[in-house]
Amino acid sequence: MISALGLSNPDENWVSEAFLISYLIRRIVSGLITIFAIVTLVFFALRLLPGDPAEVWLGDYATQELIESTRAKWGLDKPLWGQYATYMDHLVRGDLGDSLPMKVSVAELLSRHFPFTLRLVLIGTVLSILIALPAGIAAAVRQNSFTDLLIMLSSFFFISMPSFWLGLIILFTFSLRLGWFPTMGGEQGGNWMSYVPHLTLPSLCIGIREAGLISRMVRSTMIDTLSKDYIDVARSKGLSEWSILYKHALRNALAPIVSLVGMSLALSLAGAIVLEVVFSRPGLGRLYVNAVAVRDYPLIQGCILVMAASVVVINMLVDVSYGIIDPRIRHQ
Amino acid sequence: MIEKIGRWKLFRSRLAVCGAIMSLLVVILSLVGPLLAPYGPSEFSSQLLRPPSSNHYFGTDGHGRDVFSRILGGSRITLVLSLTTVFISGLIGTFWGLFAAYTKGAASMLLNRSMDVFMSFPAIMLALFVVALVRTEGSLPLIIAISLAYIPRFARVIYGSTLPILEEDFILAEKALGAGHLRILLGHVLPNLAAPITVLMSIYMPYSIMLESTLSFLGLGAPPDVPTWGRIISDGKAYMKVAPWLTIFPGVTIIFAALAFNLLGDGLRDVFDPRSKGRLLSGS
Repeated sequence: MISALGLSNPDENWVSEAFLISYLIRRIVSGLITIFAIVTLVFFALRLLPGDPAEVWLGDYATQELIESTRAKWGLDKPLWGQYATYMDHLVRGDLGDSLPMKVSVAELLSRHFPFTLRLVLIGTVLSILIALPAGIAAAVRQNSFTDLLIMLSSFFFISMPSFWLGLIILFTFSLRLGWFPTMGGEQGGNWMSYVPHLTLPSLCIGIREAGLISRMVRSTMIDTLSKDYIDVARSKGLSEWSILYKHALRNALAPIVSLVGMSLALSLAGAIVLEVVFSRPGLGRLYVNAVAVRDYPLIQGCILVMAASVVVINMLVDVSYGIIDPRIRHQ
Repeated sequence: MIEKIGRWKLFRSRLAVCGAIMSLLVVILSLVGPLLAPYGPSEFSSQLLRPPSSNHYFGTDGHGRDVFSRILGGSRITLVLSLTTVFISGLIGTFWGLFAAYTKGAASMLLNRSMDVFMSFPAIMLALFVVALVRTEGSLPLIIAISLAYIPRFARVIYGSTLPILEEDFILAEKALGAGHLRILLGHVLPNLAAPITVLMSIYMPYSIMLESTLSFLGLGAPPDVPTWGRIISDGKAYMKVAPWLTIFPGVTIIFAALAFNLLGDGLRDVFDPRSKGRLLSGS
């Protein structure tokens, strides 16, 4: 009962702390292995599959000599394992190579663009949680009512909508027709005033769409929790519905909801890739789409590395916060 | 209360029936639609960018092509493409998950870890990567890309569904009787996975449709001569300001089809596994 209410026995704290640290270390190691596997996989997939980046980049009319010299310049003529060793060696030093066509360091491009994606994803996630949490709870509390039906139907509607299409419609309505928001570009770093016009529409797109998925999960989690015995106990003690909902139910539903936040972050990250293109704003997604279009190997590798590392970190934070929020998991 | 739950169940099943009818409609449309189309899907005319009228229900595009006919013509291609990719990812994903659950030690770890590796890519990112790599003409890169994006997600769920089945008494009995691995897996475990496989396939249909449209929108999807729904939106986006119908109608069509399969999948899941009600799988 004590642990079910989210309280842990103080005497056991040092055991669980030691466990938490060893768990954390194991998670970090496995996360690093995952990232290493991704980097390796992407490296070899790019080089072993047919199609030469120099040929693609130079076009159909390039002479063989030009192709050869470009290959040599980009280091593509060296043996594969040598290329891999060099790449890994540079990678651990934080050197991701230079973008092939742009001649700019990939690390610099990524660090310039990533903050845009980060802001979009964070605000989009906050919005999706702000929409989904009340909607899911309302649907669960008034289960089987008209409200429930309305919320669930709209959730179905939004998960059935491609996010780029929602983006196009919103862009068309609010930027092109009404002219309330700029049609392209990103916010300026130091200038907070530029945040609202540039971030509102794309983050709203992410928020609305991901809320469709998240609200369904909040609903089912809350329904599960509300059917538990301790809720009946709380109710029989004569506590108000409000206090039952927020002190007892929501607190116990917190662990699954945290994992939903993590999932929402990962989903928003995926959503951002397309929406950055729709709203013509700088960011990792647009960088990646452009890199893919011209087969800019180092940049493709860099974008995937950052994206995959973000997902790995998000998953890790979710798992670790599980242990902190819910002592039951710690003791397992 | 009981009456209320009963009514809700009825309603949910009605939603599922609704989804089934809508899905059927989409399938029928894809079969007979191209025959019903008043014009050819790629038939050019001098009627450029005309708004919707009685001659052209959904208007015409920048080449004078009838949008209504293009959507009807594209329905078969879009659906066949999605079905193909869902079947491929279902087939490979099922065996991947099955073996990950059945094998032990290093093999199991390798199969599981590789799922993690692939799941660390957002589906769209993986798909874009594949489309860029597979430099062949036609729809093949698209099929490989979409399938590959959902194979690990399929495998993950099948893995989770296989583990409890392997603990069942009848599997232990089979083992005691000396049944071979293949017999246990194909003869006894696989039939018990029919429900999750069916549900997953219907859940991933809309994701597949949407991923195809997203890739086409980004200019890396279906080739220009293949009028998938995503391709039609992609062709129309440049005219967004002067001819919004080029974007709106194919988009609504995608939503209708995706909604149909989503409702159907949700209903199927309720039928097969009432405990997991409402818990949706992430496709991104």
